[in-house]
Formats: sequence, C-alpha cells, structure tokens
Amino acid sequence: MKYLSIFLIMLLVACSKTEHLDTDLPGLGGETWVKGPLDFWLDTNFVYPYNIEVKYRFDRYELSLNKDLVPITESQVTPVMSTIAKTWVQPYIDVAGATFFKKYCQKQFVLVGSPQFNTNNTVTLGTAEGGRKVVLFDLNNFSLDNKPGVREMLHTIHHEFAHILHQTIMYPVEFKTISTGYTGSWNDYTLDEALERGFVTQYARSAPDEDFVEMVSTMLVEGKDGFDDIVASAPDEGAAKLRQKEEIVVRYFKENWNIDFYTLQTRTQNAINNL
Amino acid sequence: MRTHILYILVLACLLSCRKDKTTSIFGETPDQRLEKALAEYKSTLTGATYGWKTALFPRAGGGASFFMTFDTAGRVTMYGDVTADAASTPENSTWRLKAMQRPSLLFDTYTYLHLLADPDPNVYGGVTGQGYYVDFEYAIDSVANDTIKLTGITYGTKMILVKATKAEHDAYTSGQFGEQLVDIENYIADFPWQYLQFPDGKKLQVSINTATKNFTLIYLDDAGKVQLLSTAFYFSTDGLYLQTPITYGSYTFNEVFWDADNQVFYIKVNGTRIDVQVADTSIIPMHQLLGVSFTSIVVPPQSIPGWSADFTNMWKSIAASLKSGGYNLTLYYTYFTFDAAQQVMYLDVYIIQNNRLYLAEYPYTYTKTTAGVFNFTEQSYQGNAALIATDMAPLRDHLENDHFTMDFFEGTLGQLKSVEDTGFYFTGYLE
Repeated sequence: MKYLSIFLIMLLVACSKTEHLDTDLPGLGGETWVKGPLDFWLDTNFVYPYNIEVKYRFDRYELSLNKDLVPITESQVTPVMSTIAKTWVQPYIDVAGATFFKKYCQKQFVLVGSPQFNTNNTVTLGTAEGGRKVVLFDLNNFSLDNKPGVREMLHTIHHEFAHILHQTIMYPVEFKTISTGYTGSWNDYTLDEALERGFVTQYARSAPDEDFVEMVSTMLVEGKDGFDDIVASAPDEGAAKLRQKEEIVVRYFKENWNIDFYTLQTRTQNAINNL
Repeated sequence: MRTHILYILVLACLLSCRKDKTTSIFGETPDQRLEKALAEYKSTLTGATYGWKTALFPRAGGGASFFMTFDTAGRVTMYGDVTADAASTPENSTWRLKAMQRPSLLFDTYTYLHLLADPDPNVYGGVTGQGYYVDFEYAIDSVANDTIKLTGITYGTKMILVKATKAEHDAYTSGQFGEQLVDIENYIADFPWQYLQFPDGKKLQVSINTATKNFTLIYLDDAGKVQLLSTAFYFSTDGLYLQTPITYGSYTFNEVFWDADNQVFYIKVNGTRIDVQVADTSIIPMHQLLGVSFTSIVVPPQSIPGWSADFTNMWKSIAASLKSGGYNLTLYYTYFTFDAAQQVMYLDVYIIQNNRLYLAEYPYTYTKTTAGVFNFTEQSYQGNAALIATDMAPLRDHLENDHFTMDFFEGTLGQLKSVEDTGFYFTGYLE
C-alpha cells in the first residue's frame, strides 16, 4: 500500500517525449532526377504495365564492388529494352498470360555497358539474383545488325527467367541423371566435348540447374530448326540425351505451367526473326 | 533504510526525464547540411556560363583533357582530346549528384570520359578488366571560386574542374579544337624531325607522340651521351600542356603552343617566343637513338622502299632457298634487335612451317664507332638457326664481313647500309 504513492509519483514523471521527425533525408524514397524522354518511355513500356524497373543509370551498389564496369550508352537503352520486350515479354504473355508473366518476371533490370571480366579468363554477360534482379552486361556492344550478339543477350534473359521457374517449381529429378560429367571448370572443355555428353552448351555442363535452363533458353532462342541443327551436330549418344532432355523440358512446362513449349518456341523465334 | 531507498527512487524518477538538449555546433542537422551542400554543388556546376575544363593523367602515362557543360536537367555535354571524334563531336549524356559517403558527382551514362575507365580493351585499349584506372564517379572535396576539386571513388583519380573561358568554350563548340587536333596530327606526320634551339646553340630534338600523349626532348650532352627530358601532355585549346614543366639549363617551359595561323609549334621562355623548327633528318644520329626511340629494325619478306637491287635479289633467293630446302619454310619477318647496353644484336629470322611460326636466332656482338659505324661479329647459334644457316649465308656473310651504318629513311624506316659494298643496303620498320 505504501508503495502506491511511489508508483503514482513515478507515473506522473514518466517521460513522454513527442518529437516530430521532419528532417529531409537525401535520397529517402529512392533517387530522383529530371525525367527525360527515355525515362517516360521506360515508364510506359515497363514500369506501368509490368512493374519492372530498368536501371540504366549507373549505380555502383547494384553491381560487384570488386569489378570494373562502365555505364551503358544512353542510346543503347531503347534498342536493348525493346528487343527484350518483343522477344521475351510478349511471347510469354501470348502463351501463358499476363498474370503469369507479371507474377514471375524479374522486377529489376540493371544495364551495364561493358562486359564483366572474371579472373578465370571468362566474361560474364548476365547475372540474376533471387528471381528479382537481372544484370545485363556488354550492352554497349549490342547491335540489331549483329544477330548472333542479339541472340546471346536474349539467351541470357531466357536463361535467367528459366531459373526463376524451376526455383518456384522444380523440374523432374530424372533430368539430372541423363548426362554425367558436371564440372565447375566447364570452360576448359570444348563445345564438341559437351555435345558428346548431351550438354547443349559448354556452360550447361557446370551444374544440372544450369543444364536445364540452358536447354530452355537454347531451344527458345535458337528455335526448333536451330536446336535440331545442334542435335544433328552431336554424336548419336549425345543427340539421344539431348532429345531426352528436350522431352522433359516440354513436359515440365506443360504439367507445371500449362505452357505449350513449342508454341512459345515458335512465337519467340518469329519475334527474333522480325527484329 | 527502506525510506532512504524510497526517497532515492523518487528522486531518480523526478530527475530521469530530462530532454536531451544537444544542439549541433553547425546549427543544422547533418541531413540539412547535406541537402544544402548538394544544392550548392548543383548550382555551381550548372551555373558556369562557359562550362568546365579538366585534365587527367592516367597512371600508365599520357594525359587526357575534357571540356563539359552541365545543365539543370541532369545532362552533360562533353568534348575530349581522347579521340578525333571526341575533339570535334559533342557527346550528350547524363550526370547526377548523390549523397554517398560524401556528396558525389556521378557520370552515370557513357561518354568520352568512360573510355579511360572501360575494362574492355577492344574499346580504347588499356588493361583488360581495368581500363586505365580512371574514375567516372567522384567525391567532391572542395569548391572555391573557379575550381572544384574532386577525388575518384574507386581509384582516387584526382580531378580538378576549372571554369572555362568564353574563348575556350567557343573553341570547342565551333569545331576549332577538333580541327586543331587534326592539323597537329598531320603536321607531325609530315614533319617527323623537329627541334628546339636554345640561345646556347644546342639543338634539342622534339618528339611528340600523339598516341601515348608523351612529349620528349632528346639531345646529346657535352659528353656525347643521349639525354631525354620527357613528360606526359594533354591537348589544350592552345596546344600541348605538359604534366611536369621541362627544364633545360636555365630555361623552363610547361606549354608547347600551336600557332594555327603559321601552323608551327613554339614555346615561351622568359617571355620570349622560341619556335620549334623543322629539320630534314633526325637531329640525333640514328645509331644514338638505339634503345631510346627504337630497339629493332624489322625487315618484311617483301620489298619496301629503300632496298638496293642487290639486297632485293638476295632476299628473294634466300626465300626460295628456304622453300625448296627440305623443311619447306616460308620466310616471314626478320628482326635486327639491338641490346645497346650489352652491345649485342640478335638477328631473329622468323619462318613459317605448316602454319606455325618458328624462330632462328643468330647472336652478334658488335662495336660501334662514335661516328656510328657498326662492326658485327657472329657468335655461336643452335637449333633452327643451325638448320638454315646455309640458306641465310648470303646475309650472314655481309654482316660478318662488312661494316654498316644506319640512317632514317623517309622519316619512319630505318636503313642499314654496307660501307664496303655500296650496292648493299636495306630498310625495315622501327619498333
């Protein structure tokens, strides 16, 4: 009872500080700059329809801090992004629907002008992280006249998107046992050696996940004819493995995503050919 | 005892609520100061009527200059001396100020400045994966009147932006700077031998390398030894601006001016103008530039100007002999590489067999008179050299038995001439 008075006094003098936090923190809410025609174009074609942010202005902290990289040339942004829109966004939307695409697409594209040089004498052309961000490199060399270069960039986009798909729903595990010889030093082997073992590209040899997405992206970007050519160039054993993998990919897309893979393949090819 | 504790508790409660009265000695919060600084920098950058100029000296050598104007919409127009295009055609790209660890100026889309930072060696050379170790993101150090001092974030590149004058601004925007660079390049190509003559009478050979952006004075000191005074430069609207001033005796200069009207270079020493004069040939005898301006004379398999008929025929027959000899060899380039310090000359004959390149090396020691007469003595050789020694005999005999002199030929070729056999002489590229 005698403690009640103490408590009452404590209550009375309990601190009640209200302070308004009204300082302007620079950069709070994201960086802003005066928008130009390019920014408005990106808003119309990527931000508003799909909520995709395209960071073309260099931001050091979106990239590896121990690598030397340079920004993209402004005039390259529209050719690159409109190519991506026509050959990746549109085919998937046509075949799988806008909701599917908006749900699974990466929400951030970071554009870099130069390639990223690695210490093992390879060059990185694209990276993807957590299904959220795609970084594309070497875009200053992008040119619609250089179809192989365009295909290479699209290969990266489709490759990274396929990662998101299989990380959401895994592909059949039997895929991993078709080929043997997965290795981290994939770049020490030639394409022929890879094809012998049923790997569609040298990079496919680095891990089963990479193998799967390389199959998806090669089939989409090279098209039915292109892929058939690759299979024909492989020795019989390798060709058989490639066909087996193809079958699993098609089945996976149908069963898990209700996507007719061959239709997607045709749409993508038509878009690429009409660039 | 308990009452004491209670009183202390009550006292503690009464005293506990004291508002923290800390005020910044700056009068504002750090964020307010940051916003203010950014706004100030922006207005300084965009407020320069005639734009800004700057120069950088990459660590590997050479210099580069840039001229840029910043507008309030975040766009920068830039010229540079890094390529002929950069000198005459403006590039419009973006910039922004960002509060990073320090308020920073970022050139965030590609422009001429980034050529020095590009890690892709196919773009502008440089080290693969590194470029020229030059920054394009700079932390602002200080602003004073007409200059802004910045330090690059990744490499610590020092950049000083200086307000340009109307004359400088106009020189770039009118295309005059671009034309000047073309004129200078043509002038140097037309007149490879130029020199400065100071009042003491000594002639100093002027060597301007527009590829490496290096300026060198070459002269013979009183002991007859070759001396070099060399520094990097960048192109300014007046001509060449040297990284470090060059001092010869009591004369010092740090700019080499270009007289556009008379199409000639000149320097100013103590207010007096000294023109850079043109000579027909190298001021320094070629043999004394061995190891200084070049180390090898490279003779191609097919003839170039400056070959005597005797040499041309000999070279043809050597090529034929190599082909029809048992090894089916194709004669490729032949290097006469000098190690001036050791007084050794390597005769490096490159031959091709089945699309693979092979080397046959014949070492020679040599002596050289002050007048530049060479006397070669063949040393022992092995391997491929032994296998084609007979094919190469005509050349080797001349080298062993004759004395030789060397001279520049048509500006850029080096010519070796036999003293005893006046009909035997030949030229090669200089490397």
